[in-house]
Amino acid sequence: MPDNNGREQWGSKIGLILAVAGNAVGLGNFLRFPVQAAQNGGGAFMIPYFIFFLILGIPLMWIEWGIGRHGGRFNHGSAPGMFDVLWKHKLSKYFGTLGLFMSMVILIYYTYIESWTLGYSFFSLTGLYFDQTTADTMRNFLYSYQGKEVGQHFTSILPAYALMLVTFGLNFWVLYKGISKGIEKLAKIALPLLIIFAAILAVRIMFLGTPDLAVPENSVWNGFAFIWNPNISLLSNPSIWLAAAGQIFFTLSVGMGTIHAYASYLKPKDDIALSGLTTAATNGFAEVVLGAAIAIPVAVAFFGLNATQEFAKGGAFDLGFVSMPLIFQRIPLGQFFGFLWFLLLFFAGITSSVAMGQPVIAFLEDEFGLSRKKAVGVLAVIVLIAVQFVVFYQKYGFLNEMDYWAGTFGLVVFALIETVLFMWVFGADKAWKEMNEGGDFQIPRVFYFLMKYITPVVLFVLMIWWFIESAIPTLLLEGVNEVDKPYYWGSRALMVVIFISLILLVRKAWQKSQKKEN
Amino acid sequence: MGLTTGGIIFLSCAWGGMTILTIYCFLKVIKSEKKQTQKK
Repeated sequence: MPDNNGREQWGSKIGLILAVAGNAVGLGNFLRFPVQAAQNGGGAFMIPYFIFFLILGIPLMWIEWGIGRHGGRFNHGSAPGMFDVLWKHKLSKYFGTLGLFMSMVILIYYTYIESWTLGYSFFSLTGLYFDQTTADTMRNFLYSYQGKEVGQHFTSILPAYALMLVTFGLNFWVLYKGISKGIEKLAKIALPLLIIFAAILAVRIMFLGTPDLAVPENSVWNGFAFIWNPNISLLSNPSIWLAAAGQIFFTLSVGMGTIHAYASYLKPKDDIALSGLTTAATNGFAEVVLGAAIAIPVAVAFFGLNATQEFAKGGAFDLGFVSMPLIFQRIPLGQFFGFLWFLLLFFAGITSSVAMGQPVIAFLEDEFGLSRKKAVGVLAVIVLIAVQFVVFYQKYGFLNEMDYWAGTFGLVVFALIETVLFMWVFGADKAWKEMNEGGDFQIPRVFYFLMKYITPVVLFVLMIWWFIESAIPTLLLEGVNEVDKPYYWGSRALMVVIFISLILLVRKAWQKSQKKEN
Repeated sequence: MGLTTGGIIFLSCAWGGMTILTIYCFLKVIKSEKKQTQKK
């Protein structure tokens, strides 16, 4: 329903909140969070986690909502235009290009990962993987599905490719339907459903107690104890603090331009203070209450603490696609619970991936005057071409490379830029006024100080730490097989092509608007 | 191992706090939306 200077509008406030929360609640809440908790000392991790939720997560939410609504007032639904409004400098829009780049690159590989969850929900229902009874055979099942190996059930990548196309189609169909009729409608259905599914699983897991009475230390409650018994002795380790800051950062889906795009469809006097807090709280609930109650406690109950930590070392995919399917084989109605688990991951994924498509669509609509149909079509063609490389070269690390630069390091760079632009260049007082305008409550004054000083400092430290710790080794391809190196370079080349194309598009858009003004 | 007293307190505060905050926020949102609808 175009009414907001001819732009689309959200149907309701609750719909918008569910859409932004759906963007935030993703695979990270149910897979990355338990892995991070297990890798970083469980109870020791949770203390800095809550501290960073307050000083990094909530402030960043308000900052992005604020930038987004402010940009929308000037008919800009994506970061280049929003940054141009905040800072009248010819370079500002190019900084904003990062907000298009990050969301687009993540969308390219995230859609593929999301399709695995859809596939596994079918495999759970049909019990296809229920004959894989060890971690190694289950891993082979996953790798053969991904086309990395030949397995008993999959001899080609065709099933994975077909499901990728289905997932791709669903995503773009939702985007095509628009803000209110597509994204909002999806969020209103998918988010409550995924919360219900997660709650059912969490309750079921709690009642598992000690599955094998001969091994009493392997119990659900010891899994909870691992996560929740405060372990103060490990708090002197800075890497735990940085891991917690990183998790807060990822879980809220900040630093990729998606929240800005959603908030740009608000009216100037619409509330953002309560909406931003509600979004952060919903995401926190999904992670701390539900995410923490599923993968780790159940893995400890069936495999013990040491084996769970080993699974966690293997990463989120090992925990989600290897450890969990093994567990579902061992519990009554396992096929049904497996279906719920993977379907909830799919819902978490799709509500996030549609958000990643919106910034580029908004950019094409607002800056080039394209219709939504055309904008969605352009993005769909680009993503469909790029995803081919991800699908066929995933086994060589193509996806990992994209995930590191766009989905990890790039996000913190973008978040730092936007925080400095909003709180320092645009001005903290103006930014504060913007965030509180039309608010259903007044943001406590302490957050002014946090947003101006603490949030940028934490982001800066995080960026420098990651640069030294992982960006340099990643850049130098340390630990990468010789055979895989050309594919890593290919992945980088694709990202460079996308980034330069976006820069040129931004340049063209501004040239066009200048011509119009003259 | 088992949950220690500290663990039970931490878990209760975290779950309780997050649940209460989420419900409180949603109730406030619903109230505000109702108010806006009445105004219209």
